[in-house]
Amino acid sequence: MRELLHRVCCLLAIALCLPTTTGSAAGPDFFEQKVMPFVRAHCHECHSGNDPRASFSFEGLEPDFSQPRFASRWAEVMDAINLGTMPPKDKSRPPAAEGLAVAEWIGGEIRRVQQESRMAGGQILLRRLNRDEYANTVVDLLSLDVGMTDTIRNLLPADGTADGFDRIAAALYLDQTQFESYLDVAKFIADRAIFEKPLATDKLVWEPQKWIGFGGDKHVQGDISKDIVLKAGVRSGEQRKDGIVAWNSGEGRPEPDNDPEKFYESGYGPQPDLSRTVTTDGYYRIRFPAGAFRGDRGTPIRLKLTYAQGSSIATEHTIKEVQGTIDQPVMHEVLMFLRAPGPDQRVGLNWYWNAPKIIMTNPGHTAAWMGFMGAQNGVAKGVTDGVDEAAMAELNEGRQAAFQALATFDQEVFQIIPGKSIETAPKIFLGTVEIEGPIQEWPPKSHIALGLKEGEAPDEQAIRRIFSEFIPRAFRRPVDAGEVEAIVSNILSAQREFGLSHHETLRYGLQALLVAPGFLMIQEPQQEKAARHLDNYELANRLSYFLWNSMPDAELLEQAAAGRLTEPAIRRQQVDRMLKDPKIGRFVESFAGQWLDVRRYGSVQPSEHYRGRIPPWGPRYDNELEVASRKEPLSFFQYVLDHNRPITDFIDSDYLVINDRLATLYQIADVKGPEFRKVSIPAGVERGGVLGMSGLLTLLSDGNRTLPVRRAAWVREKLLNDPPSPPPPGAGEIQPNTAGANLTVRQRLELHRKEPTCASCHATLDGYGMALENYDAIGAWSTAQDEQGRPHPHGRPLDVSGSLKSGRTFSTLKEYKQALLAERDRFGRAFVNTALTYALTRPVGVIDADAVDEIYKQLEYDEFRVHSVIHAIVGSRLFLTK
Amino acid sequence: MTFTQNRILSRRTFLRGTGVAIALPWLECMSPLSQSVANAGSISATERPKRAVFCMWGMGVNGRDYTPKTFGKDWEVTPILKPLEHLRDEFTIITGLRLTHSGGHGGDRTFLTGTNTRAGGAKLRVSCDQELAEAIGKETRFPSMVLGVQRGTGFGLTVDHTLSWTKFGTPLPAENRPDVIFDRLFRAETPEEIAARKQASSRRGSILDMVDASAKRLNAKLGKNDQQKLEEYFTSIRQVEQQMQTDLDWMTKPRPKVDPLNFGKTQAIDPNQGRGDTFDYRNYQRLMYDVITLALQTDSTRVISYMPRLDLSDGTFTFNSLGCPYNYHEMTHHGEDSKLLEWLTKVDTWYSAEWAYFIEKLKSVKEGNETLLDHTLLAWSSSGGTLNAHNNTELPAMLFGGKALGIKHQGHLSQKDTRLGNLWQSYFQVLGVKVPDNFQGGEADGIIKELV
Repeated sequence: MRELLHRVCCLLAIALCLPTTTGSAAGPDFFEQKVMPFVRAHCHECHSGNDPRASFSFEGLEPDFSQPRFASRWAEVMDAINLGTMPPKDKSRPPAAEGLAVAEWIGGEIRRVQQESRMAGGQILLRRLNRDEYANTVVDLLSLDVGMTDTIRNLLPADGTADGFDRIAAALYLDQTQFESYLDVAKFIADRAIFEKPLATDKLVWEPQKWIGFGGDKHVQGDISKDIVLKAGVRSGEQRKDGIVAWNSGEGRPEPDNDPEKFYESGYGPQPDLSRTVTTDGYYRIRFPAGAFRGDRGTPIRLKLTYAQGSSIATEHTIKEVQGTIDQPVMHEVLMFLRAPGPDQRVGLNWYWNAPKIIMTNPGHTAAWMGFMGAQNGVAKGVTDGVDEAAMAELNEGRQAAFQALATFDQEVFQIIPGKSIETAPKIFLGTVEIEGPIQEWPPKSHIALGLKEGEAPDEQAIRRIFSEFIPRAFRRPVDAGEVEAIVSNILSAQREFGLSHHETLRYGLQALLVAPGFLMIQEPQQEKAARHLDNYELANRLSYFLWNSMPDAELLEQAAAGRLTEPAIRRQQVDRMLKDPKIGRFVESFAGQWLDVRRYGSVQPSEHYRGRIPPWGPRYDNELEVASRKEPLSFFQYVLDHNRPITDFIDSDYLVINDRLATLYQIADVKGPEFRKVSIPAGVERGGVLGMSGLLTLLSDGNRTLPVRRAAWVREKLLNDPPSPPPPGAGEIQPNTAGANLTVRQRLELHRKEPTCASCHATLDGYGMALENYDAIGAWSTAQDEQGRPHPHGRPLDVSGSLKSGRTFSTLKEYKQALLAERDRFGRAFVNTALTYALTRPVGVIDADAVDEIYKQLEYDEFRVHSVIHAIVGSRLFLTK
Repeated sequence: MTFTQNRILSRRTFLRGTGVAIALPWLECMSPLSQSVANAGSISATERPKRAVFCMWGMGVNGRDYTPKTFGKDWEVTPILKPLEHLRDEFTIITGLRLTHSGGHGGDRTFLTGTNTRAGGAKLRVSCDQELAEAIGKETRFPSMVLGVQRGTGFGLTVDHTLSWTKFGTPLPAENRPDVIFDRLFRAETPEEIAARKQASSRRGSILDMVDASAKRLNAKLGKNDQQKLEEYFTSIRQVEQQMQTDLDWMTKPRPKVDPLNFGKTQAIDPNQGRGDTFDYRNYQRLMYDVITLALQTDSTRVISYMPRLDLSDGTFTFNSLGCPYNYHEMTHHGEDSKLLEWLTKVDTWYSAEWAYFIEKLKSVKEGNETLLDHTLLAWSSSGGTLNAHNNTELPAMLFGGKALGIKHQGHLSQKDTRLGNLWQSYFQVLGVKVPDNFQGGEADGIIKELV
């Protein structure tokens, strides 16, 4: 980069030089016309000469940010301006705008140079696969079950990120730890890809009627000094000789909720323990007789099996409609891919069905129970408060009376909800469950993928054949005979040296190949300085790692072998095909997951205030919401991609892609069931685009209050590629309300802006986040806040007005999004920049300005449709050359 | 080029012959200390090892109830320091230390490195515990131990799980399960296991030969930039080979014999698996302190870095089981809410009480006329300030132990505006290790003289 900075003139006594680099973000004249005069007027007097004040001199300070010794001094200048410490109070102060401009220039230059240091002059560097790519490639190469992807991925250390993505060559390091993990994971994979004989299977037989109960005639009231035995009343199911029949959910939910898309557990008792049955990752067959009765609800009876619930290896399977009847059950069979638990992890199989609620607790009993609890707490409080003896005696009497009322309650505790009956209630029957596995096809798919042939003599020749054919597949390119020979002879000599069996030799060879640079690295050898066009195989790899996060499939490799990927029309066809393939979901998870920070959702945990909330204080945060909020942006992105929607949908859309849980939060009626689907936004609901998504809004809060500045910074960085400079050290936070002062968040921010330290940056920043203040710390809509900055039905009304950097003003959220869309070129260019960074696996800098421009023009021409960005990137010189 | 059996052998023989094999002077020669805890007290004065422990508690501490108002040996006790009061002579509270490059959130990365940050493109460098391990770690089975409340490195996530960085600027994964650490330290391997490991090691060596040759072929075709990147691959191979050799050398040495600890249900003491209602934080924390004590006592390692609390969340369910309704991070953003502040102090005090347990434990182990504590330097500090959890100044810091190494405890010591790196530089001085070049990336300019 330094060669780009060629210096021209020296000015004044200060040896300040002017770079005429194409690099400067603000243009080459800025330094000369703005920075220099500013320094001359306000800094030079004290900070020059033999004894500069604070030993800081501008002499010899060049605007060459590629040199750390200059950059760090410029950073000090920036901080001093931003903090308002310089010029000192007794000197004439420059107008704030002038200082701000200089500080911004410094911040921009620092960012630019940092970025360029990762660019290797624009060359796409050799890099290793990141752990997602590694796991996907292994699964695709060896035809392993996709269920193995996560297992493999989690055995590898997390990757570093730069410029927002985990696929940037400069951040993908390799060191001892990483390499040892590769050796270990490769062995793990080899052990699960090559088998001497089918795996031994295990079988567990579980009779639900022996474990699952529905309560007896008596209801034992525990949790008090002496158990009280009451009449139980109606049961929620029954045990039969051959299984169980259930007609009510075992959940204690009070409301008669009959949503046929919600699943509940029925009955009480332990679930089958699979800890000793599932000893290897693999397919397990689960067979059981079951029957159903739709009852008065009339909708299908669904059954969901959940394995290792709540753990990292959890998986589930839903039977959309249980066949057979209660009295004539039929055999059901499910094949599930189950991952083996850790050494002392206990895993089980839980069953849930869309159970109705037809039984409730007798309100009289509830009242008696609450009365007793109240009296009990009264006594406890009396003890803590140290009330006098007489008062204590009264409290104790009260408790005794309440206890009596509870103990002598003579009605049935559980009763049918009025209007319901057991006869007409939906029901399910579940009989003896058999769980058997691992079920393995023979030969396993991995053998076929490796080219093992049944009946072939297990000799040296077979090993030679297998690896000669497999190496080019593993390396995703033709491999010359010498290289193949070197690898094969190592394998064969290892076989001799270590006395390995045929299968052990195959495992050894596979393990070695999975850590070889040919497999591990995306390589495009290039010795010349000038860029060259990629060859067909390199193109196939770039395309597939861009859009699938994995190796090229058979068709891409065939096209490469036929030399056709260098033809633009063929490439375009292939890209269209790839966009339709389910593997594009990996792109969505990786690109959108990182661009929209989805991978970080859940790292901010909302406080109790939001977890226990009920209307009118707002909807509640829970785990189900967290899970749904993570899926929303990905489902939305997938929808935009599948329907080739304009990217402006990310700013604002008239539809959402949500499920029932999010619909509740967003106050949209009639969305049933956990599946994500497109929903038109009804009038009066303020959502649309990514800025109304619960997960993002939660991430950009502190779990208690909203963080408007953080939200603003996010919008500027992620949507507009114009990140604000980080706050100077010790800038501190917006002060919370201390006793006495009762200010709104807006007022506090205004106070903050009044401090010179903060004014310069916040003036053009805050509006971007204040506009989102109607979304509270979990993204629920609110129009008023309390003094803590939390939504409050009787709080002060929110004012969300503000302006963009350009000066365009808005007074509502809607107008804010309109303002962003009016400047859609800013977002469009930022999006191109982000997508290009992802595709090229290197930062996109000023030297790429022309390319970004060209891609943006195509995007604009194509009405901002998302596919045009992808096609334009794939067609750009940057993507096609090394 | 073809591979022959000879070549494989000669290459590995070469490795063995060039001094990669690490001498084991201290352990090999004599010390009964390494064999049995029971004998620990019988080592002679010349044999006692010097140890260093670095602990970082993420997100600071409630400074109002932590920092004593008075300085000197008779510092006025504060609520959070109350559980440590009786250990007054064993430690110094150092007030005023700072980090330059980050702090508050993100200071976890800067804590032992001086300059590492999360900024895009930040150059990552070695942490001082690893520099120390490089100098004194050869003498023990584990050159250093990297511990934390969460497993792995956390690299790429919002917070790190580790304080330790290799000299290549890559993070070292932390371990968080006391039973697993115990197992690694003390479980004796059967002859079959040793044989199997030896065989696995030879196979691994042979694989490394293959991929090394393969990488050389590739290297010949690459341009300069790519070659630089591939250099990491070659370096990794060499490092793995050296590690394998060290492992082989230690494999045959008997492990120290210690009484087993009662870990109970291991699922309940794994922060990655535990749940709020079943995870007993206090039991977990004490087990961690117990295994650390054993590791030091048996001279299995002399350098430990430990991050018992992360820099954004506490990493476990900490004191929820004792009734604290908030998570730690929430409390640090107290917004002057008196309830949050009250709980913050309560929880900080609990943490101190556990720490006191640890210090007492170290103090109860006799070494000659002194104690294990006297031969160990332990820092309790944070990357978050006492004034506000988000500051990188006024870091809470306490130095414990080391009296037999020449540490002179000062009670409450003011070190306004001194870099945290100076505390680490003091470690090197006390342990008699040369301060490495570019120590802390320049973020250290001396020692804390009052202590040494």
